[in-house]
Amino acid sequence: MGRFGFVLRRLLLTIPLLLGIVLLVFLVLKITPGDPARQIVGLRATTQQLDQVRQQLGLNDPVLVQYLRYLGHVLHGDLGYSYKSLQPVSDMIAERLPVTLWLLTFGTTFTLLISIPLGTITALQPNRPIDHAVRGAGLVALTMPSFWVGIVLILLVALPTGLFPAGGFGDTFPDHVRSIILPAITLAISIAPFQIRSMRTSMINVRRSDYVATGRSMGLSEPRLMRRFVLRNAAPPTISVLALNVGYLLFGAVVIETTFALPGVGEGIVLAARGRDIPAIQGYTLLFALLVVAVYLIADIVTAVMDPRVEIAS
Amino acid sequence: MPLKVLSRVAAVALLAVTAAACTSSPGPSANSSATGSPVRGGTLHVVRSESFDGWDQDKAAAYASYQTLLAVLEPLVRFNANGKDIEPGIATSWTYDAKALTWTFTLHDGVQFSDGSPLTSADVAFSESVWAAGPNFGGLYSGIKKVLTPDPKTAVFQMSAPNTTLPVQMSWASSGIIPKNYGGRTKAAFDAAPIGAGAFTVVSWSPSGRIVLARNPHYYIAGRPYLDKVQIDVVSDANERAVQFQSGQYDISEGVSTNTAKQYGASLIALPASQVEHLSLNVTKAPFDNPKVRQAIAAAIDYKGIAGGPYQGYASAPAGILPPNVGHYAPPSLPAPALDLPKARALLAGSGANTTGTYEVIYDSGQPNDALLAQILQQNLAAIGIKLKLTGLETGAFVGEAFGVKSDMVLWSYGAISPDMFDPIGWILGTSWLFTGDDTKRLKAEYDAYNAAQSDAAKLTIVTQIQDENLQTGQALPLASFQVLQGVSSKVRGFASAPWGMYYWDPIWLQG
Repeated sequence: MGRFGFVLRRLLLTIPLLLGIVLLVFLVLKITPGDPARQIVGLRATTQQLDQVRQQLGLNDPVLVQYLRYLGHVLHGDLGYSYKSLQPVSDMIAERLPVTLWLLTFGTTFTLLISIPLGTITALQPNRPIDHAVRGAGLVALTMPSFWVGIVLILLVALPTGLFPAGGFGDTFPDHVRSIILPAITLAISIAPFQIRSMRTSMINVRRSDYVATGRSMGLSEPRLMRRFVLRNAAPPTISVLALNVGYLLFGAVVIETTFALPGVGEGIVLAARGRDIPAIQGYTLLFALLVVAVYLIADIVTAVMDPRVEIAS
Repeated sequence: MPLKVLSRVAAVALLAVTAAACTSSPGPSANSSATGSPVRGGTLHVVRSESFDGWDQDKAAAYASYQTLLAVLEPLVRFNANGKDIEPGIATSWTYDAKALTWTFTLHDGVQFSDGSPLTSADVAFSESVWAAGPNFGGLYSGIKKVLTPDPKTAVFQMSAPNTTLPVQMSWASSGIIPKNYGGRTKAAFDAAPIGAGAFTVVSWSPSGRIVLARNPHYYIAGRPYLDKVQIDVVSDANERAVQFQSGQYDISEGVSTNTAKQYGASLIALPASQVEHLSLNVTKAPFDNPKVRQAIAAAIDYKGIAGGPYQGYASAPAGILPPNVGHYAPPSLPAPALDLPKARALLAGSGANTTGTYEVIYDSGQPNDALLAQILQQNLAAIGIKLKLTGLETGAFVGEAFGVKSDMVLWSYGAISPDMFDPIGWILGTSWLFTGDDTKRLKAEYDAYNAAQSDAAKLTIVTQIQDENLQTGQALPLASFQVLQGVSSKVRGFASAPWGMYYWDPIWLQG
């Protein structure tokens, strides 16, 4: 089986994975206390009205029947309607997803902008002062919760300088860019240390390999060695770590979006949970699961493209 | 939802002319904080924590939703910011007959919906049919038998029982006037893009996101609204709201948390206390079915500590269970319970009840003050040997448990949302006396008597009676009477909020 087979197998594996996630999300929300009917008809509704709504929603049916019905709808792309607003959940997600994608894109970009140069420098000068300084700074960054970093950036950067808004996403493209910088930096600070460490380790290992030593003995220049051999061979494990971190970024978005009041899916799931809007919670959770699966899949594909050993292994 | 009250002018008229009509006060309240001439234009940026429940009036469950609905789907009359009076709005006057069985509302000349179509009594009658059909608030309109439309400017409400509080109800956000037959659209289409006669029209909205409203060019109050637009954002984190307000991104921050109040500095407005935090004891379960146990608990609570602690001074020990600073408020004639541990221990010892178990207090975990309050109560009652298990539930689950009267105790707060005691009394009635499991037969009779009473004196007597009953039974213990806090930028003029935190956007203008 070649690389195409490897990718196909990965794609097929996502199907049972997503089905399992749908089941898990459904069951978890099913066993949590609270009456969805009350959410829909309001505090003053009578028992008869509540019963009527339960009947209409099929909440009196066996759980298995409810699950299969929900699964059928999901497979047809129907995530249901919000209990609160009666809007299609897919519309709510579509409204919020771009903000989160902005955050992820900028967060990933800043992570790479921080980690690639620092990872390279530390790999080139292992156990030197610069290496210790970068690793120490990374350790400090890891101990700081992202919501705290966000608040510090708001108080020390946004408020005094006025260069960036203290929160929100703005109305225009320039507003969006200004609004996303501090949240993206916050995200990058929380994951860049992992990325730097991964890149440093990979590069050191590659630089110590026989083929690099051979190249060096053949008179290849260090820049050429780095470009042609070291970076390329150090990339696959770094990409895997990046994929893991992007998955982490998604969940970090819940905290960051709340801290910076960004109207993305992270904030959406918080608001849906607070309002016990079950269809919305299910929709957002599935979206997160889908995004994580997609990110890991893309990472697998990229690794397969870059690393011939993937083909051999598969 | 609470009721509305006749204006003070109307009330005086009622006392003077027994069988006559009551009439309205002169006009929409002037803004007490306004200085200079109103400036037209600008966008008001508002931030709040609560999500909007949508444009279906029957589904409104949050102050934020009531506030927003009023701006677009304006009801017949308006509340005064003093929290006690009703003012003319779409209806310029309202009268009732000698038996208070028929109310006649006269509409303002030339009122139009925001699409330019005229608003007539037929729209009022249709709107009433929609309110009454709602599963949530519909029952509150069951006293209206029929709405007659003798002419386009007159709507006559026929009541099934004597009622002197209908105008109060006609100021509720759930009583917004909508076009007959939804203006030819389906209900779903209407709720997605509503048309009303309010000061603003809907430009865009989403339930948990941004709402943008624009000036209604056909608004019936000449010159208003002053603002071009109102933009409302939902920010769930209290600190983030405070920071964004400080940075100038917002002009008004609604419902400021006591934890962040100091961050607002001089921009903080603490409204008169209008909310009551209460601990409700389940009288259908032992040992809380024993009055002496309830009295012992009442005497074991540190009311001053609660007002100064979780509420950081924006509260006081309450006189009774009904919220103050609302029309027809009257204090109880009996003294409020106070911390007296020897008395509490003596009452408990003399109760003969077995209180050795562990009793569950449920509270809404979405209310940060309530978690802290529950811990204070746990310590207070431990002093007399009563053990509490604290269960914080997410709002939906909490509401379900509370309405089911399943737990031993419920910790929650409530307040009026319209200027009359009819409102909170109705809430107490609809919640088995604040989730205590009381059968409320007596309260229902008092509620009906209140609605029928034609004099202020009679209403005040009933209010005192209800306050005293609660103190005597000790089933719902008032813990604190607290204030609603608002953050209002210095450039905002014309802001005038009722004690419960609702205000109109149309008198507001921006300076500078």
